[in-house]
Amino acid sequence: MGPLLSGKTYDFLRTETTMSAPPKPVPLTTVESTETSESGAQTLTLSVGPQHSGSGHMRLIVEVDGDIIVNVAPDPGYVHRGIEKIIELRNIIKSIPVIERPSIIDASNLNHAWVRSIEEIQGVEVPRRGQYLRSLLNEMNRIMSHLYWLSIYGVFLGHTTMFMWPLGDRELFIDLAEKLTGARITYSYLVPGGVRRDLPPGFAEEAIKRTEYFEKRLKEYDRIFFNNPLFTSRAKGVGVLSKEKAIDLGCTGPTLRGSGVDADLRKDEPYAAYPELDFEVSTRPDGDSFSRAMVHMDEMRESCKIIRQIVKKIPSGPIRRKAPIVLPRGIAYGRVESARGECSFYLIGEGGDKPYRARYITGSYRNMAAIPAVLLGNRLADMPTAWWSIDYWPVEADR
Amino acid sequence: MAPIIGKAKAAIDISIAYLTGIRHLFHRPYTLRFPQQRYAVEKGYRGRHLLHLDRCTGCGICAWICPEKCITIVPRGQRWYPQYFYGRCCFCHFCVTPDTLVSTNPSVSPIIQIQPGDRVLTHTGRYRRVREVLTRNYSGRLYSIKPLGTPFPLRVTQDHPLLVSSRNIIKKGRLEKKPRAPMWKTPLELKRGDYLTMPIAKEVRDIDVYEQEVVVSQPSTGKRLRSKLSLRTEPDLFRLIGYYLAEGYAVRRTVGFSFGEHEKEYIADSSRLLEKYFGRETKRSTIHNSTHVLLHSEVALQFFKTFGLGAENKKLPDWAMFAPAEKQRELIRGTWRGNGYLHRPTKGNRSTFFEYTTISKTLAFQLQQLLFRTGIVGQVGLTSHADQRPTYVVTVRGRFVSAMADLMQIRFEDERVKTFSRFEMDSDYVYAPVEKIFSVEVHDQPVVNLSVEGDESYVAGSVTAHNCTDYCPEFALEETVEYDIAEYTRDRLVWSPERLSKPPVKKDDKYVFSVDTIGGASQVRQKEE
Repeated sequence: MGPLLSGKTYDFLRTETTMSAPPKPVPLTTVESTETSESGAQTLTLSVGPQHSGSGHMRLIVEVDGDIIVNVAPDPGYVHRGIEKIIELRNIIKSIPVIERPSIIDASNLNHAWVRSIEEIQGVEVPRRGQYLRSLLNEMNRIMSHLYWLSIYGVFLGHTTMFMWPLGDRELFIDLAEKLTGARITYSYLVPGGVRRDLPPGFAEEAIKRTEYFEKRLKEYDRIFFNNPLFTSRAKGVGVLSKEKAIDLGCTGPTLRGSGVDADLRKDEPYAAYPELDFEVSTRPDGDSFSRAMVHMDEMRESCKIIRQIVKKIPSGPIRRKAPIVLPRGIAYGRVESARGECSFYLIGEGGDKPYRARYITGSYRNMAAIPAVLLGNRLADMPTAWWSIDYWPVEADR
Repeated sequence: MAPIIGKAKAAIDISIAYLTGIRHLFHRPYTLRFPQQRYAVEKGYRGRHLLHLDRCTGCGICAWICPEKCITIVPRGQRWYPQYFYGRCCFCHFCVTPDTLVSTNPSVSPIIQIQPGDRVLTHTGRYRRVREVLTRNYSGRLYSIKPLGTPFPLRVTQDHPLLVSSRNIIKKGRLEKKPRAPMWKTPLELKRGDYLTMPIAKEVRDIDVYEQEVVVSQPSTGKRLRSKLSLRTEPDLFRLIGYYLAEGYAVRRTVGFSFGEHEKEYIADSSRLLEKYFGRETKRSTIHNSTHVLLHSEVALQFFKTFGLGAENKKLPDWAMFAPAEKQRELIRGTWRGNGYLHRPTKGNRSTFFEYTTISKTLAFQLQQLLFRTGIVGQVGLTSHADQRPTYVVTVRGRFVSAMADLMQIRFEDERVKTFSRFEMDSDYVYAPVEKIFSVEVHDQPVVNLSVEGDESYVAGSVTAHNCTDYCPEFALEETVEYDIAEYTRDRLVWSPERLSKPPVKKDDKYVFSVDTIGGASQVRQKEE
């Protein structure tokens, strides 16, 4: 690439690294072998996945002693698309649809991290109305993503009603987003400098109506699922992740807050319209599957509150300010609180319309380390409860 | 007792859960019976594209911005149109609203590139600072107005005032000639033939000596020294600049002027001026039929750099634009000697006119403004050929020809019986009649407006106006709520311009595509097998 930036300083980011010898592949058969562990007990290695287990292709290599899990090795990478390299070959506008793809159910939050890092390099300030519209779509996306998580959680635990209801109620917000952006899932709505469309007429009334209805539905969710002993007996005390361990493993998002850590980028490093909005960060101290599930529920309630505040408080003015298509020389780190935790871009511009390098880290990638921690020592039957409470999205983690 | 209470609570919770579920047996279902019942699509849904063949210019911006590279520009008859491969389309609709800075706006610097603090020409003929650049999304009618004398139409929203002098009909087919005092009017009140105003810049800033910092490197030591270049701004210097704008080029440390071999007078003049101002001897070399006047001087190179390197980038800096008219006359003379010519009546073309061709858009409009200041109206035209860059042509016609001949100091015997010009001129404005006006309905089109200190007006596309759009296509692409891609065979995923131009009509459970035979599509020939 020639004498870019300050010479060799960033070359290591793109040079090939020598990898250590790959681990011995585990065959894809369900039952691998029986081994004798050090204690003398016989263990069995199971391969969970890599077929689509509800969220994307990934495998957990689980070693069980009886039905107690003694060893877990996540095996990601089945849906790796090389998005970081694709971004280097496209200009900053064309990259937007690609960046959304890893997690189309949480598209606008990922998009937000991208435009934030671009704007930091370009020094472009987004008009306030644009900031509010960004927050609006982000919160709608957060609800949609959590509802998707909830429906899979329901079907993992054999509760088919909980699979149907959230997917049905997700339509409420998909329709709202369609009204706002013109697309149902992949919006490409946030562009450097602002957003692409203004609020359509009648949006505010519709948003208030739908969020109020949705809050009533959340109470029904509580009655049928979260207060249901069939769920609580399976979730409470299962997959405990202590506060210290969660911090050590570098977890983010609902996983971290479910372990009692009050960390939310919307409060800690306020961006977009969040400094002017009134909301609470929900934390649960226990760190088990139930607390993580309840953090998701609380966040959906808070998001409804935020959406209503935004449509009432939104200022008038322009929605977009001109931003050049050129990415000047410079380095930026743009991060946002996406539905699954902190999503960030480490972006290096070299003066052209394409970035020199874009490091793309998502919430699921950060939370992957927590999977063995929550599973170890549990029974195999508790695995769906504990694993899916982390809200790990393989496509987002593999990028 | 505690286990019993716990069990009792569990029993209550379970029964509540069941009751909640059972209650929903009597609710309306969420789902639709799909083929019979269709989901209502929101307005503004990003569905299939609709292509207005009559508006599309085939500029290719949609193909450039497409992230999936699913658009190709294909020839159809005489024109080029986009063709979509829907197998790859991700419906991001960046092609419809590109959100990029590719600007086709008709001013010297595209409106989208204007920053607060830049200076723009206002209706009083002064340059004022831009206070704020306002963007908003506009739904409604958007007017496209093309006055005579500029190649680009001006896009304005229907509620935006333009400075207009309307004309009454004297008798059938004849409009009154003399312009009235201009007034602010909206495009709704405008009709074909009305005068649009182009203000004449009045600001004059005369400087005796032009100073510029230059860096000179010593070949012997390799050191780079800073020094100051100062040139007296005499008419001669302006003529030299004129020669450079027309014929100049720069190669490494050499500034060159290429003339035809027979243009002895200009060769001598330019080499004399170069030696006078830069104090070095010029060289000449003749290749084929052209003579090059060459000056090896780093100082001269840095001076001429301010006028742009490369024919496309030629421009005039502010101090030359604000110079008094006498000096600018020399500049026009030098420029016209290089690239311009006088067309005398021939058998094929009996008209008499002065013409100047350049590929620099900025220079063409700046020359037009300079001609206004010397009391001559020049029209800017645009010619484009398939394999060439667009060329801008500044033409002086009609009764302004004799004034131009006077300026150029050439002998010109006017043999015309009568002369005619559709332009009118007074001390403040040039009045240009509206050649073409039409409007289109747009939805959510971003438009740009400037707020200008003092005068609250600006000149866009040589016309005094307020509002310009940040459009990219000529509103040729639209989004339709049609989300059905009805045919799935491999080759039919490619949607040709004809197919895009009309939404499919459902007939007997099959989608039928009809080509618009009334509008622009009739001009489009079917693809020949």
